[in-house]
Amino acid sequence: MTKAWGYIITAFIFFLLIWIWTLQINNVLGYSAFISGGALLVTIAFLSLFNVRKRLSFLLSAPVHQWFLLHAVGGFLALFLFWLHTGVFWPQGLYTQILAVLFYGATLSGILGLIMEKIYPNFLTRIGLECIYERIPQEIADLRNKAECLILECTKETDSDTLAQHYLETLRWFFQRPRFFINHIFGGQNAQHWVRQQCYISERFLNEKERGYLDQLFILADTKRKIDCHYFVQTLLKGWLLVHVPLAVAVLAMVFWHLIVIQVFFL
Amino acid sequence: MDENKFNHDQTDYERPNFPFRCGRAALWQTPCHKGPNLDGTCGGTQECDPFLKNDRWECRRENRFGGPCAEGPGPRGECSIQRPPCAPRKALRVIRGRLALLAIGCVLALVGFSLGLNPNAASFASLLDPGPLSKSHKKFTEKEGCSACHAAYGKGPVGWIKAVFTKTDISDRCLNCHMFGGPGSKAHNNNLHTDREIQNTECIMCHREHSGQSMLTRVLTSQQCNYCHKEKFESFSKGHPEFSEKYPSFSRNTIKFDHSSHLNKHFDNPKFSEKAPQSCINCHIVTLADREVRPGTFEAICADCHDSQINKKELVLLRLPEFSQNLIDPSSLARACNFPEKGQSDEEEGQSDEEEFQSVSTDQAALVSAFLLNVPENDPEAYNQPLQNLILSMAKEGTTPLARLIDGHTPKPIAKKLLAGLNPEVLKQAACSWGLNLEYEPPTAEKYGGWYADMLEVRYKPSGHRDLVAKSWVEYALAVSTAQDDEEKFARAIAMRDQLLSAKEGIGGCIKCHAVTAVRSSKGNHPLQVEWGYGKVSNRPYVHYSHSIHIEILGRKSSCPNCHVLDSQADYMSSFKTFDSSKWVSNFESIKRQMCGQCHAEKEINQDCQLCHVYHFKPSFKKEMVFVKNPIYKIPQ
Amino acid sequence: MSITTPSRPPRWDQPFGSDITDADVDRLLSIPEIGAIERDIFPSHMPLAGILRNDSRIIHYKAGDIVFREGDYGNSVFLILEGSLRVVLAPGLPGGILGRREIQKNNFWQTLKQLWTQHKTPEVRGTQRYTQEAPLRKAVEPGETHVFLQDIPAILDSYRTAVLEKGTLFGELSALGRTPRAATVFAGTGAELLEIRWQGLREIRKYDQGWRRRIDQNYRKDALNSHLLATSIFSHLDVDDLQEVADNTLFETYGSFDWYLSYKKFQAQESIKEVKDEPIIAQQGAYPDGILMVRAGFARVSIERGHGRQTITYLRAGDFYGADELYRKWKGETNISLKVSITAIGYVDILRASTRIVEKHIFSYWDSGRGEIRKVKSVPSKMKRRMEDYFDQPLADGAMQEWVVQERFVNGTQAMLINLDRCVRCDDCVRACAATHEGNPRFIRHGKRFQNWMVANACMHCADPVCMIGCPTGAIHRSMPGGTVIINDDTCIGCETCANSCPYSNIQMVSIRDEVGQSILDPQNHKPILKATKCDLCADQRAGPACVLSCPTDALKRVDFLQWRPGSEI
Repeated sequence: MTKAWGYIITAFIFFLLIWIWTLQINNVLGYSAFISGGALLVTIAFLSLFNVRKRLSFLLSAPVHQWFLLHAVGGFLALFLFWLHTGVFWPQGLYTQILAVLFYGATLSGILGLIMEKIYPNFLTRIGLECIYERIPQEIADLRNKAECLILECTKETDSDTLAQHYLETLRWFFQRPRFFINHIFGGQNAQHWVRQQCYISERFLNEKERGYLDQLFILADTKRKIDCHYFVQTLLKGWLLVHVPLAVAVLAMVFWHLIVIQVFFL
Repeated sequence: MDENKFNHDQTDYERPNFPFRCGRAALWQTPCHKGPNLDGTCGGTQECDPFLKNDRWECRRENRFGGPCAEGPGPRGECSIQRPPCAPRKALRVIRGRLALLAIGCVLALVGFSLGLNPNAASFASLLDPGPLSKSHKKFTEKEGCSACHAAYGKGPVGWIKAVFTKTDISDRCLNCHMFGGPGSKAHNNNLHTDREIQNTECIMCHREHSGQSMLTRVLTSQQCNYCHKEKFESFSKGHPEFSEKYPSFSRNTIKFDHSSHLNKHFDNPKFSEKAPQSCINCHIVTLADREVRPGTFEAICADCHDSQINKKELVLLRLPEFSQNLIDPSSLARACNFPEKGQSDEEEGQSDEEEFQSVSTDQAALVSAFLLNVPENDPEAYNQPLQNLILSMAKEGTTPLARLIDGHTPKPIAKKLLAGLNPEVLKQAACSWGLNLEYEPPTAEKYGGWYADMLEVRYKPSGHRDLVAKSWVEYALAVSTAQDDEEKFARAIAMRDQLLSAKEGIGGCIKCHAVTAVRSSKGNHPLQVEWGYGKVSNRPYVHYSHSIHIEILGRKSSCPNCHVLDSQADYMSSFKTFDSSKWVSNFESIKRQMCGQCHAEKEINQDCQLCHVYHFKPSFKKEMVFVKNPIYKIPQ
Repeated sequence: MSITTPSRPPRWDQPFGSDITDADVDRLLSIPEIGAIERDIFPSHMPLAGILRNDSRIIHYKAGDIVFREGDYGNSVFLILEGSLRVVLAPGLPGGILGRREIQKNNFWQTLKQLWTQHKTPEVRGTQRYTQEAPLRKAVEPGETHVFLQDIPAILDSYRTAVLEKGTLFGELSALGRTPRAATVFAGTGAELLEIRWQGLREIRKYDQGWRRRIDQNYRKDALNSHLLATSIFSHLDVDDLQEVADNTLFETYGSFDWYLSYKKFQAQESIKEVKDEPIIAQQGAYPDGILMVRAGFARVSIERGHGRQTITYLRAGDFYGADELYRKWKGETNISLKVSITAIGYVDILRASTRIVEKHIFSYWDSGRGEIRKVKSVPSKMKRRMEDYFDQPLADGAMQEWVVQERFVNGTQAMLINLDRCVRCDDCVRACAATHEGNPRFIRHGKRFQNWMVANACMHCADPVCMIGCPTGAIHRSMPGGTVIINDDTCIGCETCANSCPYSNIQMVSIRDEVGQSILDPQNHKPILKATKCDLCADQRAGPACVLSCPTDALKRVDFLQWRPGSEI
């Protein structure tokens, strides 16, 4: 934690220095955009090195979590440097607007991702089970198979298809694929409630033996509900990067273009 | 779900770098064991690859997937557990990589697309456009487009590469249209003081385009000004240099109006006190307040008192001086005058009890005529002949000889102006009556203008203010009094000039109020010039002051004396004793910085440098900026 | 109450050597070393002949075959029947000759090259490696596959060796003590050896005095003194004093040697009662009797809490306990009793130094002022907090430690601990692991969980590496410098012994493929060739374990549970 504050303070001091420098340049009627732009460029370059660093764990000995802290702090620094550089929140002109849109998009998605990465792990742990993301389809399919075998067995053993009918009407939909996306990602309890309800709503129509099967079915359905939660949350935890990284790459491309344009037309 | 399935024959490594995932899993079915192949095809169409051993096909399914199956391979070696192939999907990471490539592709496409567009036509889609141009620049660079300011525009990739290595000077291009009183790339466009270090500047230091409808121009702070100015100070109230000694009136007035004498003396004179103005703004037109609050016209503000004085001061063109001898041939004179001969008239009339006209004469000739004839005015011997000749010729020809004389002294003929309104009959009659020693009788025709004659003189009486003849005579006198070759001639010219310019005697008394200035000329002689018009007080370069807002704030009637304090001790009229306009004493005390500082101080009113100081020096344009699209009138060539 | 009659040991259902015949047994019984054993002492369910038949095997070595390498973990003892062997004296043979992988850290270029030499296809092995002859001699029987030395004369010239003649019994220290083999032994000439697995040896030692004496004497001669010297409180002793201490040290063994096999059974059950069933070495409240030193295995240190026992810590090989109580008693305090109980986790070998000796050689030394008078630490030197600090800890605080011991994670020195409250499940650790292993990860990011802590299935490089027992080729070995347990891919024959032995399922078998993705098949039976793989702690990487470095949220650590507690910063 102290390291994080250390980075934040360093970034803040850096920003102050750049700001003071731009003020001094303004005093002599110079182009402060070069300094702020240069600082912004350096910051963006450092931010983009994060992806490279992640692939080089065997080469460098500074751990990735330090780089991650620096990346997060650097992202905020870049945002403030951006405002210092442009002087406005929303520039004019098509290509600067595109650059601003991409930059804001990358920054916002980064901030959202940072929030998610702080909040969700805790949430996942408290679900009560762990499942590797790539194994989730297998697990759901297994649970579904088990549930259906259970239902078949129940029908066979008890000569009654109440539970089977009920399953077809309700839980079958549930077992097809992960359900209750929005509610899960916001930490809601709808799925849990639904499962419990849909299972036990049929209780009064079942006999003792069938209830035994119902209990087992409930366990399977509840396990599946937990896996669903894992699935959705882990999808978000992995998927937000599909927004952040392409946007960031587009920012880099536009920055490159920006450098070309100012070199050709302004300098 | 068995959470404790950790054993090596129950689980396998997860390979997050593998680019595909099982298509069945993507559809939430049970995925196969093997997973997709590296080329993206389904790897699980069959459970194993049977092996032919000793003519028997054996199942080769791995132990951890269940070991050899019960059925075994088919007779031709095909695996007995087959399933239709799935369609493997890309892993998330691969999708991410593709999205990133797509993003770059989009950017490149946008760039390429916009480079192919004409930016003037479609600037909204141009990826070169960093913002809208200001209205005026947009209009005036319509034809040239971007290359009006940016040299590299439209040059293609080679041009662009060159442009990277050459320093672009947009500010140079500003000077294609914009012009100043001095060099465009020096601070304050200043070329005046070569001994000073003037910094080089660029237009774009302060003027930024592509920032919207109105151009973004910096408002300079005192720190920014202080960067160049050696005399650095903090603000107007702290450290600003003291104003010039003569501020705000640097140059001698063109109209001699002594505020002290008027305000303290003349306006109190009971004769004029009714006509006197009640306050400053009765004379000074406050609605035209700008750098100065100019006074109204003569007719509006001065005529009430001064008009009557003008026509009292007359020009003496000709005078009948004492002649030592009579040289005029009486008969020719008589003939010229259509007058009977003298002897005859006496015999016809018998004895007349009429008193004989006793002609009189003056001591000297008129200075004007003395100059014209180039004779001394006080030496009868000298002026006898020429003057009497003149009289005779006047009798014969009227104004012509005079006109000839007048024109003889100047390169351009101006006698028309000088003698405008002069009825030749007047001259004739005058000449005849003087020559024949008769009483002068004015001609019967109406008087034209103010010319008239009597028994002694030919005079001009100005009609009033702005009398053109009077003005012309004054100017004539000034013109001919520039250096003459002949010293005597020069002296006579000066004498004539002095008379005409005299406030008391001069024609119309023009010079009582109008200043006469010696104009500096490189030739060495300094021609004199009357300041006929009101000399407008303009803003000096770099400093701009406007009365209007100050009057608005401080009040119309009472605000003037707040700053313009009358200096009763000042010898105002001494400024006009010579023709040197630099000798100047104002009626008013000069305004010190403190005066302005009463309000323009810290925490009070704005004291930005640019409130009073203008950066540019005489900004203007080089080219014709306005194009009339459909001229109604063709301007004749 | 019925008396349970011990029955034939279940392990005998799978005899050590499957082709031992009665004739062989008779032959063996006639050998002097074995013949000297009194057969009558042995109980009826465990006859000597049975031991010979079921717990031993006869192996034939050709000249040059390696019997075992220095550093191997073995669990059998050897008796030379015919021929002679050579033991390599210090310095030993280099690892390459022994079929070991030489661990060298990659240089910069090699490290960088890893970026683009990763395969997407799993477990690719360059086929040229398999065209070369591995120094492997295959045999039909398990245990008969030997790595052999290529050039014996050269080795005999370059390295100092000693001859082991017919009739020599060797290897018993490693077999009984779970310590690495002290030297490399190879066949100088063709030889015939009797290999007895440790269970059999244990039985023989238990009942036969002669062998027991012989084995204990060997231990005392070879290993005890150095063990004592390595223990800090004895380190000041001179040679004679040390010998006296050594002579007065008792050996004790508790628990079951093959704890990892029973551990696997226990995994399926609730194993709370297991704690109560642990063999007691020292009881809380009892009279302190000498200083206990752990020679091998693990001992749990616990205090009574409610109706159960709460674990304070555990002792490992090299740790000791008891000095504090004895010292205070020696100083004259009354009513001194043991503050804790010490029980055996799995199995433990104890050395007990008697009170008299301790008082004479240690306490007087401390009091004399000659040595540093230090506050007596009865905790292992590695622990940061004193044991006493834990006596009053709340139950909840000690829960993790309990769980760790219960799961036998105490064995691990580099357990992969993931904090699930920080882990964002990004798999960057797995990716980094794959990046350092040509695209193949070497662990799975799942494992047992306790609250928000997960111990993932990555090799823990155990203090007691049971995986190494029984590797026929010595492919799995412990690298001397670091203690990292490494599998040499080239000499691994895929027998799955280690994978089955590992109690934590940290070793995975993989079928290897060639560059185009086809499985490499054994030419004889067309089955895919398997190799054992596991985490090698990035031994050849410059920067150390890639998993730790690559975690973006600092959730992953490699910990030794002896030193680590939740909340401690390492």
